[in-house]
Amino acid sequence: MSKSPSYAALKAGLAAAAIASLAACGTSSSSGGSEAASSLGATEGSVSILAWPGYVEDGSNDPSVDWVSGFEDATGCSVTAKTYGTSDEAYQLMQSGGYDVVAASGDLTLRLIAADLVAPVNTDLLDNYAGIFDFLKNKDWNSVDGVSYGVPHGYGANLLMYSTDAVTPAPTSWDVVFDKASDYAGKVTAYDSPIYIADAAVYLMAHQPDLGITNPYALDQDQFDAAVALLKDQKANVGEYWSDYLKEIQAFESGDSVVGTTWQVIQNSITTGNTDVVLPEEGATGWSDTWMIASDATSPNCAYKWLDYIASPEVNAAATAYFGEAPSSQAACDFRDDCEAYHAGDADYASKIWYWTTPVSECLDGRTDVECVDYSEWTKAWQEIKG
Amino acid sequence: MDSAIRLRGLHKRFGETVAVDDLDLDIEPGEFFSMLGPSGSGKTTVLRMIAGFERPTSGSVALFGADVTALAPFQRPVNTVFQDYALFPHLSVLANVEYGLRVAGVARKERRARAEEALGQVRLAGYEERRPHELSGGQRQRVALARAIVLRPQALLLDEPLGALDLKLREQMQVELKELQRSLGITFVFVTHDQDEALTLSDRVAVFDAGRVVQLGTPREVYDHPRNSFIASFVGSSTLLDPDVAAALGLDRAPMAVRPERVTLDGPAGGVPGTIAEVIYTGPEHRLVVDLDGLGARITALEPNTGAARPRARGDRVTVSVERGAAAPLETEPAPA
Amino acid sequence: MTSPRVSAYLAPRRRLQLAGLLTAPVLWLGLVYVVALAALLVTAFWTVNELTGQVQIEWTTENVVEVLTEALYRTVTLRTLGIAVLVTVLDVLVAVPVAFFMAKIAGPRLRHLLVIAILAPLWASYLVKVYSWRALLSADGVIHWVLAPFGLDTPGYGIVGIVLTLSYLWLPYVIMPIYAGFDRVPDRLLEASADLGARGWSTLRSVVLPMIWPAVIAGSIFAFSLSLGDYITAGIVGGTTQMLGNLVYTNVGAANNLPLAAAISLIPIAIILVYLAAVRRTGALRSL
Repeated sequence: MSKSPSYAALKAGLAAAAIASLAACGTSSSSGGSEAASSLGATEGSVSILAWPGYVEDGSNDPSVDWVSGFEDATGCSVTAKTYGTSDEAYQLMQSGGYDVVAASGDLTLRLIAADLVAPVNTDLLDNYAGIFDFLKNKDWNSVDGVSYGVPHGYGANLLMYSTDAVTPAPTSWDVVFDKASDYAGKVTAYDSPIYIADAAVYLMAHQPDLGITNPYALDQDQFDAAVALLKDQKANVGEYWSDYLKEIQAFESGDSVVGTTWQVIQNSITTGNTDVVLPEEGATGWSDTWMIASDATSPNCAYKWLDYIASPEVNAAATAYFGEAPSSQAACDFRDDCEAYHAGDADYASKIWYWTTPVSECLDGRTDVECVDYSEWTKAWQEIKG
Repeated sequence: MDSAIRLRGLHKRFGETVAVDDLDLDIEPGEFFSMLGPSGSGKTTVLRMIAGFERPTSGSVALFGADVTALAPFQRPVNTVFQDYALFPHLSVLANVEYGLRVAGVARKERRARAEEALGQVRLAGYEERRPHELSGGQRQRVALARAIVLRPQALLLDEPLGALDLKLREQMQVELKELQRSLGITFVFVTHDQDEALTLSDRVAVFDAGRVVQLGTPREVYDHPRNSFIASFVGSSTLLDPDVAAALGLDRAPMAVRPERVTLDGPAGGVPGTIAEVIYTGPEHRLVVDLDGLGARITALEPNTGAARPRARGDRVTVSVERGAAAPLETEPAPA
Repeated sequence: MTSPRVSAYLAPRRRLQLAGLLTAPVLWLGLVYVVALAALLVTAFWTVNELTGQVQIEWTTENVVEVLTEALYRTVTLRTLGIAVLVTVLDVLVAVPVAFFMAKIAGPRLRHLLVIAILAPLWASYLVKVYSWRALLSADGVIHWVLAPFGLDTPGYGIVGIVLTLSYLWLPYVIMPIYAGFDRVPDRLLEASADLGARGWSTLRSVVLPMIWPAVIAGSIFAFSLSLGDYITAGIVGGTTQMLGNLVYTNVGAANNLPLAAAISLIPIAIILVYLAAVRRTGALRSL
């Protein structure tokens, strides 16, 4: 468990790395000609998996962390796994082919679907799909027009962490890092990624309704400029930006940071006990990952077996616990003692989360009268915000 | 008149080692004074204490009547020529020679004139713009000399300045050094381990051993009357005679040293019989080692190469005699510990 | 052919020997270093496909123009340059007396210990050292505790933190050449200078500094160029401060815009080239 969160940090830090403009093929357009399998045949004997570090553990990193051997014993499919560091790397690897299964974050999934690199998944063929939280199924980042492209794996929110000594009363709003940030000048922290602009947009959604933001990943130029301006004001009070979870833990333990965005797993790792986290009333951004099957998979049957296996409560519990995120099913919580901390299955909590999605120029909220600001502009703006 | 250099009770230790042991020494103005001794005998340390590079552990250094024991090198009216010349590699010959004048704040024009003069004195005019690494050993030596004398020191300290030169060049430089000293008329203190050099150049010689001066005198006094066996064998070569052997040769019954060139073979008055055990041919001379009959001792004699048809050979029988007065009586306790 | 015959054949043919010796390393240097660098420079004039994020060979000066005209890059360049100069000056100021002490004052035993002490940090991981500085500079770190009684506080994370950390990181690279430089100044020369009437300061200025100047330049090249390219230290102890390396990293990693990253990386390369040209005029490079 000790090293898993660093993968989360790595992953999240770079997860927003998508550059693709999906203008031509947004979620509403149907894509590709791949068809979901209607039935399963005999397993092929092997399966090749591309995933974030920590998602496919066979005991070689930590002998006590092994859910691959069980799969191999049960299905006869031997697993070859490759890990990747960024969504862009994963995209390139998927283009080069040779993988049957991929675990993708919300900012990668749509690109894979648009490029016809992954196939729809017939969830009826998966025994464990039924048990998965409904609020994770058929979302923007894992389905197109009601066609599922994968199995949800785990999710988490970018929460507000605060030092209980320095921030009183306990905050309920993101205003402590925005409009009231000057109270904590030099001690505010923020997530170091362009995708953090969405956090500002979530705040503006609640506090400047005139802007008309309905989705923090679908910002027209005016809305985007407002979010950027908010972040430029915030910068004066920021002590440091973080993308390395160890840095964040240390900064809160030492008191260098007293308020800012965080993940549940960071709160769990802090030993000094002087911090707390809250999902503020405005809601929050977050991530949700999906297991997908390559459109040119050579072992589709083993691939389906893996999707089913990794969604099974015990395995999903092990994998998401190792990584430090909420599992995908209530049943998985029977195998974890920290589900409460991750608010697993709390649909209300989950509904407040705006899962990471790649901003594209065709507005994700359905507007057609304006162009939205795409992710490459987000990246540029983020550099300018940091100055 | 005050001594040029007066050392009193000079003592220097390096850790446990005594380098210089309670030394008293007076060097007179205008004197060419040599400090002669094997390496480690303390002569260089004494020179460095005169220059100010080392502080004495105790004792005093006075230059021309002024106590300089506590003064830094740059406050002393002496200059040094180093064994390895210690020229500044990043400066031209001229800049090296001008260095001392420059730090003394001498005006540019005068600096230049004096430097040219000094280079003329060491016969190095025309080399002004060279860098030290472009010069031969002898030329560097001259630059080092010019650099030191340009400041018109009252005394010049020379630390084995000829040690790095080959024989021919060394002999030539010896002559030039002597001339320079005469024309400048200042005190030269010359450190060397080469007894020839010391005898050739000096007005007076101090022979060092184990941190002490074991003999002080003119070259002739030191050579002809070595005080003990160490000096007798370090300065030139000598045969050391036991009291019994000395007596057998008709000398006083005492330890004696005799120079090979003062030993007569087959002299008119006869002498102690012996057999030639070794013949060493050196060109101008033959060095002959003779076993003295019945004495269990050997004596070395020197004979000029006369071009005789039949030179002496091993096994030749000879008689050995030493004139009274040709042998130097030695103090019974030789200096080296 | 037996090996003695090979060496007998080669002995008079020194050029052949030299060629045999140097071919492999030169090829390696040429391929890995020069080609990689050239590729980087060329990439700056390419573009990326908006959809796939892949580099496209389509000539454009857009990236370079952007880097040259946008205020962001100017600001960050000046900041980076300022940091690199400060680090270099600090390191030289610390290294000269330390190196002098090591080479000219310390005894052989102490000198040996000091060399080991100065080189030892090079065995430690860069990250460990930077994180140690993060802890030192922290709000409840050692610096805070030491300075608090004097009414002062830790500079915290920011430019000061970056300068301190980088100075620490590169100090051995600056001390060692200067130490070697001092070591090459024989004690005799210092004595000769004093003998000729120069006081300590005069000797330092007229003899020691001119002689160690090439070593100081060598050390400064290390500190300056390493600082110019750093981004990890800025990320760990820099607070919100961005250096050029951070912009490059962001464009390679997060933005996946390799051409723009290449264009940005032209800035430190240009600065270093100017710096090398400047020190070359002083003749210092010849003595490296």
